[in-house]
Amino acid sequence: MKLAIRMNKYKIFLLVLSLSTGCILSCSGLIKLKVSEEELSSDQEKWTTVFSSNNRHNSVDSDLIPPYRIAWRKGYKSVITDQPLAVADHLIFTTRNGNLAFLNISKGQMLGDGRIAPGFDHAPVIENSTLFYGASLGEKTLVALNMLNLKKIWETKLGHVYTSPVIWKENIYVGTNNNKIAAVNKNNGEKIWQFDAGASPVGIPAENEGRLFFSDIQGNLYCLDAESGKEIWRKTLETNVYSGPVIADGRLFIGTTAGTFFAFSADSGKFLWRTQTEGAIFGHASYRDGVVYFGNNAHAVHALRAEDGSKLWSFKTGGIVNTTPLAGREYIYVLSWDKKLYIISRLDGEEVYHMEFNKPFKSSPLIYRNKLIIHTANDDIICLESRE
Amino acid sequence: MKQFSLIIFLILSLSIFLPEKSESQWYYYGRNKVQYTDFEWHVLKTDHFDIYYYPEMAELAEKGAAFAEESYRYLENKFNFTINRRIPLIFYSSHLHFQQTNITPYFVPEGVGGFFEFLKGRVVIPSDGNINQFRKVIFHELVHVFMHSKIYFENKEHSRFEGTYPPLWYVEGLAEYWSSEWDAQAEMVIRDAVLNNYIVPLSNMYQINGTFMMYKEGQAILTYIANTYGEEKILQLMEEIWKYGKFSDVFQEVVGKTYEQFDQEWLYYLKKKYYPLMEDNDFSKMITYSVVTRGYNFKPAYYKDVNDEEYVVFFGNRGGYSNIYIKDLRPFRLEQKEKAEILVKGERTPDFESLHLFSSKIDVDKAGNLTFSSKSGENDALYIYSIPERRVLKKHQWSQIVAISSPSFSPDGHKVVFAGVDFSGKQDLYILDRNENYLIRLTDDFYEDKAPSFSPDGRKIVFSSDRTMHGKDWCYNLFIYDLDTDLIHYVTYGRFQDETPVWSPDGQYIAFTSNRDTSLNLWIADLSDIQDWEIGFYDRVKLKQISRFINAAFDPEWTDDNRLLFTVYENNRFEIRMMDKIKEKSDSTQSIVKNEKMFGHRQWKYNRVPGSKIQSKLRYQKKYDLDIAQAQVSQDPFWGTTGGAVFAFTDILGNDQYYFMLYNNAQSRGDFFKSFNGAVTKVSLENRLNHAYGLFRFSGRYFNYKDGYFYEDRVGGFFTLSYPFSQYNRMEFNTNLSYSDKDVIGLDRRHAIITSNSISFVSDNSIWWYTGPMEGHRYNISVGNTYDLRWSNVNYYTFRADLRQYTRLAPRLSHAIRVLLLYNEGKDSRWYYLGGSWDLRGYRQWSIRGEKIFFLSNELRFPFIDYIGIKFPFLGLGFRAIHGALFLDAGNAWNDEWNGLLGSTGFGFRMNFGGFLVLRLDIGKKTDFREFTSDWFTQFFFGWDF
Repeated sequence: MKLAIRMNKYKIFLLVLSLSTGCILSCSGLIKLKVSEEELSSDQEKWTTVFSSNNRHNSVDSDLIPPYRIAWRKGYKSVITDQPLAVADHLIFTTRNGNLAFLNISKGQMLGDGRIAPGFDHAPVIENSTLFYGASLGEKTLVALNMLNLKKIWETKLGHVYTSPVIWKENIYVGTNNNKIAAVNKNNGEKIWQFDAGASPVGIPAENEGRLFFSDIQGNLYCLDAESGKEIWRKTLETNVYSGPVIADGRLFIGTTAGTFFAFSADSGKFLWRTQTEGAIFGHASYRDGVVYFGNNAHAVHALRAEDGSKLWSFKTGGIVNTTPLAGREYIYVLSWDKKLYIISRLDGEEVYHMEFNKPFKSSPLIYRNKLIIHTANDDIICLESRE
Repeated sequence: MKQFSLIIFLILSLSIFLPEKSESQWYYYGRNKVQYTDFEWHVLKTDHFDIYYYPEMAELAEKGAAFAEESYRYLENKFNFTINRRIPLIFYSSHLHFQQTNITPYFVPEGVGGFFEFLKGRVVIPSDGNINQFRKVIFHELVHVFMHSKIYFENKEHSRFEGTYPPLWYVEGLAEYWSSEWDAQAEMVIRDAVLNNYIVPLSNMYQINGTFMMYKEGQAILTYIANTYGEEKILQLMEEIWKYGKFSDVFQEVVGKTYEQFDQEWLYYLKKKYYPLMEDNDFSKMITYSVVTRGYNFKPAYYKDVNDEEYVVFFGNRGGYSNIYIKDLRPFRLEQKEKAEILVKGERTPDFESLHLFSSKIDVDKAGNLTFSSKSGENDALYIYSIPERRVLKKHQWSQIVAISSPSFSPDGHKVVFAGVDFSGKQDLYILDRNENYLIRLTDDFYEDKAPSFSPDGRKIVFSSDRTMHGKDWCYNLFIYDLDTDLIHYVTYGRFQDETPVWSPDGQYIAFTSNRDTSLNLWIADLSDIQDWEIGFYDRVKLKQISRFINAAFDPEWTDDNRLLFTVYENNRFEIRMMDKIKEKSDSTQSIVKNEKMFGHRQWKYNRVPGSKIQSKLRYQKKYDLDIAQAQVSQDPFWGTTGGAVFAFTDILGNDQYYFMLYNNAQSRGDFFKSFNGAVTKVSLENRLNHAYGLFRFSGRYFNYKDGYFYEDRVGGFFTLSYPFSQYNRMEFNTNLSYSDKDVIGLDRRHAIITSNSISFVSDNSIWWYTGPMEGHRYNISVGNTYDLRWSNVNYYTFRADLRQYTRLAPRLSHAIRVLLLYNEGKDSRWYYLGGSWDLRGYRQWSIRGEKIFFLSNELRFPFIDYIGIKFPFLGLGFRAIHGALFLDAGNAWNDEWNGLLGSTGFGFRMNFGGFLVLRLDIGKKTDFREFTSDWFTQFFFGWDF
């Protein structure tokens, strides 16, 4: 009996030790990035804004040839907003529960994470060593953070930020829940102008040649002059719109929850074509070589010719697809709520490969330095490598 | 009319039954949920669902599977969300089968169309002969499944583990809003509430929590928000729920208004919408005659006796129980005292368990025979009741017909036509030949045929059915079944709900109700131009609207050629009213409507789930999952620390239940192993004869007034049987065998192998109001013996009679009496206790003790304050239904000799707090029935009235 009790005490000691160690690990907080500013800005493959550029093509000029093996897997609860960013071997992402995390991509090692806001709806944006993020709750909701020393450079009081920030020249632009689109000086956080939208701007806005393209939740589409905030054109689509525009070859592409995919002239706002699909479109589209790709809640991924909206192919998954397909050279990388990663031929929509995981996918994939990085919701960040 | 059942039940349950007392057969009292039917369960697996059904309803189950998959696709789009688990759907082919479900321990009232339970995420849905309703309920319940899951993940993904959950008005409003259109029923409820000034603002929605009114107001609010602020707000209310601890703050964030600000504009909008209706429409009470106004009344039937005295026979609920009443037909313009006699007492006896007053019509023939349907045991029964003789003449019941509604006599009274739901879930028409005592099935398909009525020549039957081409849009038209040719002809046609038709005595007209002007009103189908029916004659029917009520009217019934009785929903009440000069009204109607032209007749049907979508069909095999796990540690300064846990495992249908209990009450390290207490119990509810058995070991220190402090270690097993005769009565048998080692501290030690056996009769048909039972009875009579098999250290027998009778003296005044006799005789018999608020008031709790007890309690229960409100500058408090009581208690306990009677008398106040807790304050004086004590006692207690 005494032995048993001693054993119990020993076990209790181990339990306390492991709990406290776990606490230390999990409470590690953010750590400064051990990279130079030069390294951050010179990285050729860096992915510093969501969906690759302000045009939001979500296209990468490479492919990861299947089959894949898991290079590493890291448990991470919550859901990565939109898509992770990557620069200088660091994966940088925000999550819906307000966390910001840094992770070493080569080693799969978590460098640190911490709660920096009550919650995020969308991904941040990086310029050089500064991370700009907009929080979906709180008072000072737009923040510039120096990633090298983790000090806030500035923070600005806006409404709850419902969009991803866009940077153009010296300004940063966001949409807020009080139906505003705001331009803020990226160096000091001063508000430059403010535009009244019909409803809350949502999704991921685009920028092209000094023009901003925002959509609001009630289906209004705005083209604004980024310099002055003046409206250049406005279109009203059917409700509702949760995604953002893609700009390519002078056209703007966007989908609605009524399942309609639209194309407009980015220059004039003139309607070009529309294609009806069978399910609500909540996700953003991607673009490459004259073709737009998007998923919908009828479990499908569609490829449409950008020129006229004609359907090139459709691919059926087993779950809703409200993530954004990643367009590679030969393949489309699609994450579905059926817990599967699909590699689809860009040419004919045939499945090339798929992998099944434990949880659904609610954020979009990223290819960076020959690694495919995905996140299963409330579960794991997974880094895949080609077996070949 | 079937749709109204939910409304009415929930209205009644709020206003009369609250709190609804639901108990199962394993308690001291309580009604029984009887498993009459031995279902042979199978499982149909589709892409997203495990569907549980029985073979008799296989076709319906496959249609339901198609609805479920359709709903799943629709809701994935709406919610932008997917359920990552298979959803168990349990189908029943009728509501009576549904009422036998063990998935919830509570009774399932007739108005409940289905439910979603949280423990295993099960969705339980009955069909009741209406395929559109079945489809709608599947959509409705799956909205709950999606919403519940989405909100869970919204909170979880934002690390809000405590989570905010929306209020019930949003939960049910959303399920209504995303599963059905705004229909005549919703219009009726909201319109009536606005025009009669009882619409409840959003800020006060708690006042109608859980009622049908709340469902419809929730739907109305979400419809308004979607139309005014945007459809996206509906989804945002879920997606932003993690932001705040209170839903009202989420609402303010999303909609941009507080509840109070929203109320201002919403109520203004409703008034602007509905007040103009007063221009061209009337309240029925202003232009028709009142016939029956007290309580809730439905389904009038006309009867003229041999003395030419006219009567109306109707369903009514005037205080809790539903009955069939008869009242002389003397209409009046203004309110007057009305007296009605009860013909059939419903909801108290096994013959008349439920009269279906919301969904089934009644009829009286010329000889004064009344026909109606009632649940009686497993199925519904069709009754023939003689009004002159005041007795049931005949009860018809068929094993293949589960539910029966709206029986109607042929003109000669020899036949009865009715709508019946069979085991497969089809609702069709049947004719009973009373002379030959045989049954003819007229229709056999998935269309819902209802409310049939004979023509005066007895050769045709008019009925309402969704077999119309617009049936898929939940429309009903009127049809004639020609008994000579067996052909069915359209009488009305169009996208309307034409219901409850009834032929005029001269055969010239059919009166019916229709929503053709958005709410249900009375219409006449003028058949005067039609001599005999042929295909296509429907376009000769002249349709005339004879009422323009603001509210809804239904169940028309001809008295003679020129008067109509009908039910009206007005000012949140159901009354029976009368309209005269029908012919004049019909003839003077300027606007005669013709049926629109039909181009061919297309059959409609819902497809079964495609074979390619069926993964498997298997016989159900039980698998047990954890339902609850609860751990608890308690600290008592005297008894020490006790820690333990309880686990419950059940199968998906809830038929078998396993309970594991383990706790330890050691006070020192050395006591640890011998202080383990545990019990394993299995309860089986699958069959009508329920049983439970288990093993236990209980050890520890105990106290009772007979032995003082003692230590007892008891190990044994038990077995229990419970057989319900009906919903109200059951027999129970209990036996247990245990080894007992009892050490009365400082005195003696006793070993015994104790067996204890008892048999009980339990009866309960009581109905409750806010603080306890108000009418009916509760009886528990038991005999048992307890003896030591080996050493004869224990040997006694027990008799227990606990009889409680509740008599309604006035609608809100009730007299309750309780007689309790507890009698133990023999060696080492246990003691019973009296004293305290539970029984003999004024005496210290358990201060009166003995092997035998006699106790009598009388209580007069009445409402004292209906509402009291206190408004502070910063807070408002309101208390409802404070009740009063006058009481007189008498009794005593004794061992060998009777000690004389003790008693107390006084008054008290009771208040229901939150629907589950009753606060009781009693003030009085004690007496030995020679004199009263000089001082007053005051006792405060939590608990229901006896």
